[in-house]
Amino acid sequence: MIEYLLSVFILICLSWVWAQSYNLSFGLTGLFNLGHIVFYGVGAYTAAILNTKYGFDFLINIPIAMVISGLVAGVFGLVTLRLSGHYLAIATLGAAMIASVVATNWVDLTRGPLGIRGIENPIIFGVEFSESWMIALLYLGIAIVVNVLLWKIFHSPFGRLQRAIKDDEIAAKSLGKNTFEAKTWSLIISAAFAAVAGVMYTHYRLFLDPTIFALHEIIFMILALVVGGRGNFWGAILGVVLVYIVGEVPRFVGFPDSIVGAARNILFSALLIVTMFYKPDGLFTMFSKDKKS
Amino acid sequence: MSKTSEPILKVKNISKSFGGVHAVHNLSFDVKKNSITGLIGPNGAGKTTAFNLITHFLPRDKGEIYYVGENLKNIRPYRLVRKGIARTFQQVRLFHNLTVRENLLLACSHRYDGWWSAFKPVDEEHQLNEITSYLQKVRLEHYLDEKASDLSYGQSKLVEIIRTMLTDADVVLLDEPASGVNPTMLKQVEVLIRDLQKMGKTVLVIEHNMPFLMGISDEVVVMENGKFLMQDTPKKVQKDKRVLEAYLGG
Repeated sequence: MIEYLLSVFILICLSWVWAQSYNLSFGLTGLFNLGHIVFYGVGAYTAAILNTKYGFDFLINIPIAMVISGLVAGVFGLVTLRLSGHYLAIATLGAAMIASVVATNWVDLTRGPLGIRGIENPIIFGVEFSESWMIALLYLGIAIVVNVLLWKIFHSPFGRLQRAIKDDEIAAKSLGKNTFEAKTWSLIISAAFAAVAGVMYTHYRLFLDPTIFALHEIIFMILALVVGGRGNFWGAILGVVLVYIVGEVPRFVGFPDSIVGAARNILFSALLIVTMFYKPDGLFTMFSKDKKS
Repeated sequence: MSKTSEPILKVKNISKSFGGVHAVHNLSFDVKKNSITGLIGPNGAGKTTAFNLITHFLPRDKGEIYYVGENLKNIRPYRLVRKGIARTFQQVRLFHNLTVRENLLLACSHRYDGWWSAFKPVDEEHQLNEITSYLQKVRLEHYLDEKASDLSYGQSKLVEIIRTMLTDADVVLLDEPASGVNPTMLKQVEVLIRDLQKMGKTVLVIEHNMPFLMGISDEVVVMENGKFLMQDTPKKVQKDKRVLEAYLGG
């Protein structure tokens, strides 16, 4: 039981990082970007390849993955960020599909559908984090550091500009703001932190295949942000925790494996409907006067 | 009035069509430096389209726009603001989910709102002092931490004008600053516009409230059906037969 709870806790920590990174571009800036999974996946693959082919460890993989994912986001942004709303969503969804196809077919690099095995647990200063409780503590620490950094971004003049762009991009332009550049930076930073979550995933699962680019992963993140409060720093945390807990209920109460997935989807849908009815700006608004705090 | 005869903004033969409709057709006029110039015309005359063309929010079909002698070509709206031409909109465009403080700080923060601002301490005290002094002039200083969505329409108009003033642009284009504003606030709008002139700025105003506009303008440009009709002092414009015909359909 402890092992099960620890595994849920670890997944919450890495999803917390991922959700908060997505909260920057999707929540704060308002980019309806369905391709965020690409940055998570690029981070995961960077760590898997560097670890298995070159023996790079966890702490080195994080900054390298952040840079590579940020560069991918820069190119991604230059191509897609002239679009907005549904057009942006479709274009970025296309990019996610391309990433999946590349990961499946570039067999020399990714081993395609066979996936990459033999990834090591995190090793920091010679200490291998092989026990679940050790990984749980490490990932909690990383999640806190990432969230402190993102909190600073959310509450900086840069974060204020992102909120303004989400509110009214034309008005932001009328104040001399280069909104395209600002949105691109939001995407790059968002991608860099998504890559951290990807590295965490890789060094926890110890196996990686192209299913990491699956669409349901991004839908899960959107669900967490919408339930918690899109663009709300604390709402993202609440959303991830709540969605994970709700998602684990069927398994926890002993539903047969054959219906756990379906039961989970029903619970997620119910959670979403209840949120939309009672707190359309997210459940965190129950605790906060300022929805954007 | 301290205006000089030197034009800071020259609009030369600009045109814009939407399908078969000529919204603006060969429009030319000058705006003198440090003047308050009114831009009037009946509904549908093309005034707001002219604003959109001048501020490059709309691409023009032809014609030139000169700002301090420089031909403005292929320039993005945000760059134009940094060059010195800022505007307000016919419908108030405050950031409704942001506070008044945040709305106003955004106007003066483009030098320090890059991503690095998260990790480098930014002191906004000077900007906040400036913002407070503007708000005090129009008795809105107590609204600093209110959300923009909680302001009345008139208050929003005032905040939007102050926000444009804070961009530090030399030419400010105001699109119907007095519309929907009660008489008390109208006086405050006038105070702000006159302040702009005292600060050495040039103001181009679209307005339907004729007593207000004629009272503050040094010159008035009249448009009709997308075309230039005349440009002169408010007194002469008010007496001109062509203007009366354009408004009264005589």
